[in-house]
Amino acid sequence: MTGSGLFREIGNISEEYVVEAENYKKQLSREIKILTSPAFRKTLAAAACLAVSFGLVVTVQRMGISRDSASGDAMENRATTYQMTSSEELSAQGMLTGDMAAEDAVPEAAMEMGEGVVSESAEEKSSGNLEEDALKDTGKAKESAEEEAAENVCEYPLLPEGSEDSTAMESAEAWSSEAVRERLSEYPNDYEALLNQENALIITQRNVYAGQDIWDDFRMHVAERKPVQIDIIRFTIEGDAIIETVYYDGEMFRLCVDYSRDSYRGTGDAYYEATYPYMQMSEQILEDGKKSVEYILTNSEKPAVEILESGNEQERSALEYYSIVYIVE
Amino acid sequence: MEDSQIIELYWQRSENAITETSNKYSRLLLSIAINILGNYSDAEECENDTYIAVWNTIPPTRPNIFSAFLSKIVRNISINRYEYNRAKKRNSEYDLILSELEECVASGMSVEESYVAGEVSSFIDEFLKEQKKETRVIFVRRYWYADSVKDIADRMKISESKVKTVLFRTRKELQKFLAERGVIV
Repeated sequence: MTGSGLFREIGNISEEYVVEAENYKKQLSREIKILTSPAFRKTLAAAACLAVSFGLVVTVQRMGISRDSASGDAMENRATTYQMTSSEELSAQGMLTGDMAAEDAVPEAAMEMGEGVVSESAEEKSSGNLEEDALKDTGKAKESAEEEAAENVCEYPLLPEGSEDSTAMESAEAWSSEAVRERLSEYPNDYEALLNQENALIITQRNVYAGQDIWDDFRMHVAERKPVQIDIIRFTIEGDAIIETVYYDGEMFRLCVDYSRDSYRGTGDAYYEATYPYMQMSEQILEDGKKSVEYILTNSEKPAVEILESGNEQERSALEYYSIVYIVE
Repeated sequence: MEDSQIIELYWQRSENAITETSNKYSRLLLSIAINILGNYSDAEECENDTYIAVWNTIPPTRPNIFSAFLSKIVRNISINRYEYNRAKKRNSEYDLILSELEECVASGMSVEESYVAGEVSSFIDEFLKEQKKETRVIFVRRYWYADSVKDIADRMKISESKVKTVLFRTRKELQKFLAERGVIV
């Protein structure tokens, strides 16, 4: 048999696989569109408006900043954290009065979300959660944000086996360093074995090697303020693995980084742990024309990129951040 | 128009059948043909030959999945056209694909063509069933649709290096799989 003969034989495989390969792209494209669509953000705003109109306090975390390196100017800052406390404030911001576009966008976005989230892991998601909350009667809308978060708490994945104290895991303060470090230490040291890990985002040479669906799922949960956890495996230039785990409880990001496999870390600690309230995404066009995309955890509401480039020493010294994902497309 | 309605036009011998087929699937068929042939004019001819072939096949055939049925026909026509033109023209991308597949069947020993035609494809089905979905999609996009590595990477939002690694490992596994079943020696 020749290569040409094998190519012909492959042409006779089951149609099921042919169709699967044809449809695969469409699913991914719709998910990404929903995550970043203006309609989705309008839906978020509309749902928040309705909740606040009953005197609730809602904090929404958003992310997104682009920077045009060619011009050297930072584009409009879309990394925003805002807190709405009263109808008057909302009126002043123009969010309650006359914003018919946001209200009209709700049913459209509801259909889009209902149709679009079709990944295998997302089939159980109620894609219209925000829309349902926005459209439900007042009794349901009065539910506090804390109660919602408690209902949506996922089973904490980092408890030592045998522990039944799941109630302690309802906040980031219940993070167990010992359990986290022990779990990260269970990852193999071998490069090939790490590449074959199925439940982590794996990044090699600034590219996503595996786990894109896991990463997409993580960002979707964050956008919906639902608890989620992700492991990220990165490699140094020398090929040593640095393993990160990020746990988001709906409010805060808890990070633990395992440097124990990095032979060049020197005398530094093998582990780094920190807590951050925000996650920001930054895109940049590099000199060779490629685009870099970076996700950082930070303590700053203001975009970290702006602070670093501002020259304001006070802000820079107060800034805490950690880059969890950096890829070049 | 739904596929079932288009197929019904063929059964009614309506000339609109080909028009409707073209409206819906022209882009898909052209992309497959171009991947194999490397030039638009040859690909367009193969697309037109496909419509003729479908007209002559339906009826009596009533395909289950119309898109896959059409894709298979244009793929075979394009392969035949490529081999007909091989002396004059070469498509570097398709040649690369063939050379990759040569690795699966090349064993360094003399190869005996003892396999039964059609049996190999069922073995490949069996092999693909065992693969992870992402791996299977990458393999089919490369060796059924003849997509370039870059197109696969763009489609699946992964790096080109990852696509190459997955293809390399999958070809090695397929080689072992086919050898265990006596397809290659």
